[in-house]
Amino acid sequence: MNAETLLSTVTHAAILFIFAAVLLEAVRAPRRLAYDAVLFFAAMTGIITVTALTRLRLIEPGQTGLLSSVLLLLLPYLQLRMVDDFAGVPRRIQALAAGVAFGSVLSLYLVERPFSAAYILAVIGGFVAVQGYCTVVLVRAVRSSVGVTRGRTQALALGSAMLVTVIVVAGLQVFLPEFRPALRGMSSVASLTCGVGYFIGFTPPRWLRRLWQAPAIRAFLSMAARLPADATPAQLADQLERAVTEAVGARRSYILVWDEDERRLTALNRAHASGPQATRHNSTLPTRVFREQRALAVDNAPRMDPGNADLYQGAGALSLLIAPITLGDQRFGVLVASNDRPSNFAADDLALIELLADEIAGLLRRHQLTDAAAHVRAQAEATQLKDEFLSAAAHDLRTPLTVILAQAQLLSRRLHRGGAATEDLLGGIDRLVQEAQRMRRLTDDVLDASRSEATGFVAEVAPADLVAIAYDVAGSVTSERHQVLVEGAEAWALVDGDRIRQVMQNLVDNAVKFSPAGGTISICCERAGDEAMFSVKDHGIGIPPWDLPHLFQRFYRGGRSGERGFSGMGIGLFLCKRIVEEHGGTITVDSVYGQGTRFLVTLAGATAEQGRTNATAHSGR
Amino acid sequence: MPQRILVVDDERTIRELVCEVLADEGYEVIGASNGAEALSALEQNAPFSLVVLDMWMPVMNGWQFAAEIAERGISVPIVVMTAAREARHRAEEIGAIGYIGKPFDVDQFIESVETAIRSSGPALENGASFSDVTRPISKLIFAPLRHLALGTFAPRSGGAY
Repeated sequence: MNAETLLSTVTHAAILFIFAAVLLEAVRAPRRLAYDAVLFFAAMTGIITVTALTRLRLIEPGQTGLLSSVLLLLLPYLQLRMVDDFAGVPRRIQALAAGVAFGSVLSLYLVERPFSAAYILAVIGGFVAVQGYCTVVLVRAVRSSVGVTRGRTQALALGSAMLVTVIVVAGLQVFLPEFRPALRGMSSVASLTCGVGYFIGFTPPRWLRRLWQAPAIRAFLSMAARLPADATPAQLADQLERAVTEAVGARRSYILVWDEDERRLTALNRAHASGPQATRHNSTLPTRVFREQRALAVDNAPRMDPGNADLYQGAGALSLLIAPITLGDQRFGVLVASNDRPSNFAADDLALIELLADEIAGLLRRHQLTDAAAHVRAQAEATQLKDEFLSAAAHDLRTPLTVILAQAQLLSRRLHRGGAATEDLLGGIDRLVQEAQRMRRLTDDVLDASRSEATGFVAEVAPADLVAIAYDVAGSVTSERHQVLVEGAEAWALVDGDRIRQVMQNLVDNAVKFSPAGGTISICCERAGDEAMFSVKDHGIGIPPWDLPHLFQRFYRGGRSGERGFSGMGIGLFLCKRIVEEHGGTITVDSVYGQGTRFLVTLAGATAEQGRTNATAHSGR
Repeated sequence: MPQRILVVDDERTIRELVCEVLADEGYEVIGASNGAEALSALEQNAPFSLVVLDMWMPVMNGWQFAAEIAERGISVPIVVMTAAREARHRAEEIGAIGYIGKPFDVDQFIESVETAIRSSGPALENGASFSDVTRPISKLIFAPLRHLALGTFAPRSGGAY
């Protein structure tokens, strides 16, 4: 086997391989480009087969020469069809190329042999003109493409140029017989280069694809690394979309994120008001990709999703590449790249889009985390401001409150002393006193709640009778519509009596507040085992289930407290919990929305004996 | 002769009200709007049975007042009258005999004052109280300590209260 045979064998093998590959591709993903590629390489394969059969003398050379000539003359036209799929070729030129091809083929049968030099020149001229045009269009397409597409188009342009060379060299052999050996060598090399060019263009090996993709990915990553950490979602989207557009050579790109509240995809960059990103309902192609979590390349979106055709057309989006932006099981949304013509190598571009979508998922996750951290920080600052404000307000309220309370009590004492007291006068002053006392409790609560976590509440524990505290608290309720019942005999607990009174008072005040219709509130005290407990129960409006988990949070006022017309600072229950827990006790709530609420506080018990001894010891105070 | 009480508070309304409450109970009451005024009242008038002392005042606050009378060897029982949550702590800080949290209930206030006067003992014939006898000893032992503590920890006047 000489060098020439080796070269042609390699070339033929390459062509046959490509034919198999494009045939497989056409079966797997039927598209016009795939069909045209099959036709083109079928013609080439035909030429190779016929030549081989002739060499094996299975066919008469006379017939085969004609058949392979026909196939050869059709090649430029078939190539033009492919180029049209790529970059678009004006209709006139397509028609012209078809005319040239069929004219050449027809002439083979009509023109008398042997062919004149002029005829051969004309046929070769027609071939070179069309194939040369294809080459020019491909070279131009190289300039406007990026990444894998650019690499593959370059290879195809090379293949096409070499095909022209092969024909030109073949023609020269006719006119310059004396250079035939050299020209044959040239022809072989050109054929091989042509085969390799087409091979790389149509079935590039994986490493080559990676190599072509690398710059785009590198550029994207370096852009991503430069993104400021405090970028707004719109800025983030803008940068990322621009980078994606650049990387895949798309016309536009969109990052769509899933809006859980509205149950649809929305543009991360709110500037996009229309186009494939404006997913006004749940049946668009991006939504489908999000649902199925599988990337999708669409050559003709309006045709594939006619229901939203106007949406795609409005944005000049004919072809779409869509990949889910997902990290683990966290689904953020989808990445969409749109173009005004189908992607030449959709599989490659889709692979790149998927890669970029993964990167974007990581970025979004990172920004989500910093967002969450900023949110927590802002919340802590807001809470501190609230604390400081409430604390200052409570301090300022104390002086006038001291005067009001003391003045009212002084008046009451003087009336009693002077004997001039009337029932309604005393009642009125009593009401003043009780409300001032209530206000005192509230300001004390505010100050307690705004104290730092480190400061404890419990001063010192001593045996205290919960029942006595309960009667005391019950006596403080001024509402005429409410009746406070105390149940239980003695129930001694080892507590800071003042603080537990504060807890019980808060719970009873709450019960009054949330039973607007009035009714009975019962405080039930009990000693059991080592524990002493009391419960405060009302038949009020109850607590909605969604509020229950947050009830003991500071400043939590219930999601709908405003609507119900109940005000409050949301610190009473927070304080109760802190005080009870500092005692080593527990506080639980149990509520039926619409029927009432029961709070249960469990504390360390004390014996009645301890209690009485303690009470005697302190009675002198 | 009625017991004399000095009421020290920079808030006029509170001061006057407290004076009225105590006057109703038969005490002879004199008001002062800060520690400095209180100090001169203590030095110019006949002995007092009790000082009702607010802590947060301009010019001279409660801590400075307490340190000053200890310095000058004046012995008089003090009842601290300040924000409810801190009253007890403040009383311990300056060695007061009792405390009243603001806002207070008048009944409890009167009871605290009576308890304080009872426990500090009757004024002696010559105008000195029992505590006058123990003063040199307590001064000897506690004054340097107190001075040290006050100089280090006592808040200056003009706080947030």
